[in-house]
Amino acid sequence: MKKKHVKKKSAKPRAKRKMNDYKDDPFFVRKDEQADAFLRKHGFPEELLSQK
Amino acid sequence: MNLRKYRYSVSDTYLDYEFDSEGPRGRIRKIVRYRPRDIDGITYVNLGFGDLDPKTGRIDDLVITNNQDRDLILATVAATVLEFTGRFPDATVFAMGSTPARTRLYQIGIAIHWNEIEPLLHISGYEQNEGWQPFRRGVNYKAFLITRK
Repeated sequence: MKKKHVKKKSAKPRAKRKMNDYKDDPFFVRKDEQADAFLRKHGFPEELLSQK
Repeated sequence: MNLRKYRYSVSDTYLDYEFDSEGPRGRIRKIVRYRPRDIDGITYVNLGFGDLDPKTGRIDDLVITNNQDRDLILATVAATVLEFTGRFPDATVFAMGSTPARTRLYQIGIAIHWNEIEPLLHISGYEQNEGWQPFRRGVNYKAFLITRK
């Protein structure tokens, strides 16, 4: 008897695909600038710097 | 992390993630974006998260959508952090909300899922008077740095 082929569903909740690039979006540009400013002012944790 | 979350899409580069929030206010496209940055020779990755405005095609994270799915959204963003740091285990991810309330939401999300997150990630939080400290529940932070264990 022929075995019924059961297609297994991926357990991973995601699909890979082409996406819009939002790199020039003003929101993300501002967020990157804020992140840089914060880290310039406050630095990184010592334990992180010792790993780098 | 076997928590309920939205199904998300990921770009070929694993830097961009999208998913749809679904609730009483309809379907709202959420964008999670990771971008490498450099500060004085130290490379880190900035996590950006916001809503896509379908009218303008632009991102906004100041809008309050009230789609009654906060925990699902936080679990989905957390899943992208795990996927991203799994792909790039040496990356240091910086996360800070656009407002203190948004940063507090990140804090709540981390605290809720701490038992699942803690074995996989090192998380430091920036405290106003203490500087960078290992994440602890119940403490208010201004920003977070995340690395894979």
